[in-house]
Amino acid sequence: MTDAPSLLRTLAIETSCDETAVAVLDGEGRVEANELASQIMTHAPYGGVVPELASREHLKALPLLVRRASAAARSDVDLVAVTAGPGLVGALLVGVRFACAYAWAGRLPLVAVDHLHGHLVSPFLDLGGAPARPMPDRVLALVASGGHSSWYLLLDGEAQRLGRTRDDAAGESFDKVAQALGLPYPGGPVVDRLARRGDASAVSLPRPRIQGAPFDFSFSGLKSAAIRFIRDHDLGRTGADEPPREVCDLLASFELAVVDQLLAPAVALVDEYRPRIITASGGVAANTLLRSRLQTLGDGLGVEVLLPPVGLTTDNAAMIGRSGQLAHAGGSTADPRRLDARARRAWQPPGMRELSPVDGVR
Amino acid sequence: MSVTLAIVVCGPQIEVALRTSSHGVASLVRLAGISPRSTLVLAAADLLVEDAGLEPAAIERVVVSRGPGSFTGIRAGIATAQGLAAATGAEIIAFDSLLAQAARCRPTGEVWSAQPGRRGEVYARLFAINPGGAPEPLSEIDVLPVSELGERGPWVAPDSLDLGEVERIATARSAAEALLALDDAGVEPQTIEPLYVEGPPIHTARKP
Repeated sequence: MTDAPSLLRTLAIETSCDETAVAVLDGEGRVEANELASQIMTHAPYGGVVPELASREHLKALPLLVRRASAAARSDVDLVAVTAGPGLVGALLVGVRFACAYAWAGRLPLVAVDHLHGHLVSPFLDLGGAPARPMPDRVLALVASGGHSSWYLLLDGEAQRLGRTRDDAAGESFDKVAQALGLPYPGGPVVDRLARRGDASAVSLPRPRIQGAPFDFSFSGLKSAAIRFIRDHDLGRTGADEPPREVCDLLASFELAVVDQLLAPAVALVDEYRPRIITASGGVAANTLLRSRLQTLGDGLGVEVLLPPVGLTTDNAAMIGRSGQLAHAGGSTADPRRLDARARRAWQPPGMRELSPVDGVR
Repeated sequence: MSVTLAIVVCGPQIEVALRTSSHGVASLVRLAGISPRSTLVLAAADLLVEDAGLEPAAIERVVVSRGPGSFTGIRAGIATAQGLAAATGAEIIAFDSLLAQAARCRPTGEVWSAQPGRRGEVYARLFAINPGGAPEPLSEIDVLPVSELGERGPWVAPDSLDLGEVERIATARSAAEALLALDDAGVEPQTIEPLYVEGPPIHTARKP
């Protein structure tokens, strides 16, 4: 086990992209408050996230969410955790500056959290009032969202990337195909809903593999093939309410191909690294087919599968709080008088280590 | 003893001033030419608080400049004030940055106030500087290219903002001290919302 039984009560802030989120966790990782202000409606007309709009919305929402979360929490906090990167730098900066001031003024320790590490710990959290589940010493973790699609090995709490997309992220490919069909942004939820009505064997789509990199995958060719199909069959002006059967068939086929791509390395990864648990996190981990296929895969391989509550698959602050608690317990602190936002993961906080390719872990 | 912190981050330099009721003169830290500047706002505040022998929790009021100016700087200043207020219960007071620039001047009649804009432009507004009162705006906020500023004047602007060949007026105080002076004078505070003047540039980003 990698975490102490009781850690500091934590206020957590997440503003890395288009969700403003604030959470309070008790010392055992119970989520006492989990506030979220989504910007989906703000960005929907543009078909993607507009960075300046995201920053403006974060500044509007953050004080209100902190007030709400503090009111819902059972007592004062002892630690402040904030997402410091990776993300949209202007958006990150709103949360970082707020958190730094909060920690400085309250003389509280501050910890800078890597957004991806937050996703990695999210499956171990509960939204029903239970304490966080301790992380075993060997976890195989899929992170799939609008910005990331990678497999990691969590070894004694440290993350090593084992495989990754070489081009688009899985969620990004859902967004692009939905956009090509005239469906609303973000694409993931609408693809999930409409794919349930379609025949996944109706449209043949490619599932390319990367030669010499068995744990990596690609979505670009798959996405392009789907968009070609949309163009060739004149499906570009469909509506989300009553789409033609052809659209549902395409989306079911596309969703299956994306899930196939994401899970293609799973059996080999389990064989190679023998994890105690397989997890999935990030926005795409809310996808119905991915969740069921991963569960089936784990059952077949005799490995426990742990999925986050759907409410913790999108960006949220509870995961940032838990990651911050674990990092702080491991000795990580940040100086509120110096902490900056980082657009990319230009620094390696404790708990994140990238090795590519990974030396054989047996 | 009341303690007030003033924060200016939306110009080409950051200024942080601290004033306690037991000292009439504010302490001031000004940083220019440092990037990224907003990371040092709290370092400056920490220096001032420590120098005054205080704890941050003693700050009862935060006076912040809400723009116009650098979009990112505006947010850095307001988010800092918000975080401080959330932790301590301090009251936030906001004034716009063009008013704060005008309040740097001694009573001299009319003056154009400028803050940095985008694409080599400035945000500009004409004020009447009256004895014994707050600067009074005489125009709407304009967005002007620097090349056209010579047609107007005199100007007051952050010292490190290049306005080209224009008449600049001598100033009596920093922008942070001007915020404190506006607060002292009982000038009606403005809304604690950013004053961007311009809409956001619209381009979508790949999710990080």
